Amino acid sequence: MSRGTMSKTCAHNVLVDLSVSQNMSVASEEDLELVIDVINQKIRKFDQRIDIVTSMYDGNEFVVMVNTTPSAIMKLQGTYTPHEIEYFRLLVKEISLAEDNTIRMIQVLNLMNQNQNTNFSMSKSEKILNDWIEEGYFYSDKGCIYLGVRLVAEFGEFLRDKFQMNTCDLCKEVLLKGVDCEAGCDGHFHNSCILKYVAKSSKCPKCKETWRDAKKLKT
Amino acid sequence: MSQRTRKRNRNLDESSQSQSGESSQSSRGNNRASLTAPSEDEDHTRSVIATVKFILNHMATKFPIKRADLVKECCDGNGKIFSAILETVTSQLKFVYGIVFHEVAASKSNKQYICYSEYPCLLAKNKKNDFRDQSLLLLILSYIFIKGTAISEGALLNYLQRLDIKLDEEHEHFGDVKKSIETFRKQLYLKRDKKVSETSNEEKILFEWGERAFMEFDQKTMLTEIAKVS
Repeated sequence: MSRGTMSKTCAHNVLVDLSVSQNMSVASEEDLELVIDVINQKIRKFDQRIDIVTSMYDGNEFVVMVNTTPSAIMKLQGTYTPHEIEYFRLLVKEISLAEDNTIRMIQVLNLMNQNQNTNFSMSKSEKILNDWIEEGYFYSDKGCIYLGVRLVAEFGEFLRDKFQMNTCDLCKEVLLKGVDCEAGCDGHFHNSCILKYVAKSSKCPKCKETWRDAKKLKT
Repeated sequence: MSQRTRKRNRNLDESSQSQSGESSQSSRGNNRASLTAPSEDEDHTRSVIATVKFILNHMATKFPIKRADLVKECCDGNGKIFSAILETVTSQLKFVYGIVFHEVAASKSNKQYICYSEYPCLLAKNKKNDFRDQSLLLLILSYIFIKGTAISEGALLNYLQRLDIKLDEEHEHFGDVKKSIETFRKQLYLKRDKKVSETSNEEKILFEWGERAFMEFDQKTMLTEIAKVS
């Protein structure tokens, strides 16, 4: 909760530390998933859920705390000021509408200038963006900003519908980066979704043409 | 991509089943007709959920949470509802999240509460700045602990200066130390008092352990660790 997002390995380590401190047998990764299930049953009434998600960009698995409040606005409640919420919204909108769903840092700075708010200095906005990256709302790589695992887990459905973003033809959820149909149809798929599919069939789930290199797909 | 269960939201039904046992005990004291009791339970359940969520959202800064804010935002401004649900809220925070919800002893007229984890050691591996701030805090707390009494601001500054930490300069590791100390005071790790000296009529600023420090740090362990350094 204080972190919002952590790698699955890190979460597993926390559980291992806890199991050792309680003189129990060392917890396995399967134990982590079971523990998360039990936790989710308890926290559901507080509009919270812990999801295990895979980053579409680096394939790493993360454990994220998701606010399941139906209203998108309510999800942003907490200790953010109205200006910070507005900044967050602008960033999300720009990235969602951008080609390849990414914007460069220079565009983020331009966004700041447009957001003509003297309370928001450059250094403050950079600090907040770094906080959001650490919390998993955004992902940064080589000077580009992408939507992070936590943002997709919490807002995925909302963004998909509002900005008509690309979706995976297998699971119908937001697709930021994935695998295209080898045969040339407009099928797009999450890496993780298509890997499960090709284990059983070498044909495109959409156009049913055979993919010669289906077995070469990797995470 | 993400492993999610798409179950319908049965929050209120489930929570009202689990809460009705506890909240009906608190309403037993009221001489209300049994016809109104179910809606009171629903109100209480709603307030419990809203209060727990509010506390979860606001505990990250570690600043005390005011009773007045909780009553206003989560109990429709009704202080009686807050008093009725306090026990449930405290137990839910403890048993679901491992969070201790503690009333600050110093606050009498305007009650405030602080939260801390039952397992603080697991929170140590947080954001980079948290680790840095925690180190600075422990340096200060251990000094006060060893001195065995409240220390003056001058003594604290001297101590930090011996460690090459200056308040009027940005430290390369600890950053803005003056701001950090102020934050520790607001978080109730440190307590700052003004005392007028009997002899010279001068005002002295004294620092000692704050209520949160006593709650979160075990003095026996601290003594052992300090002994290791010496």
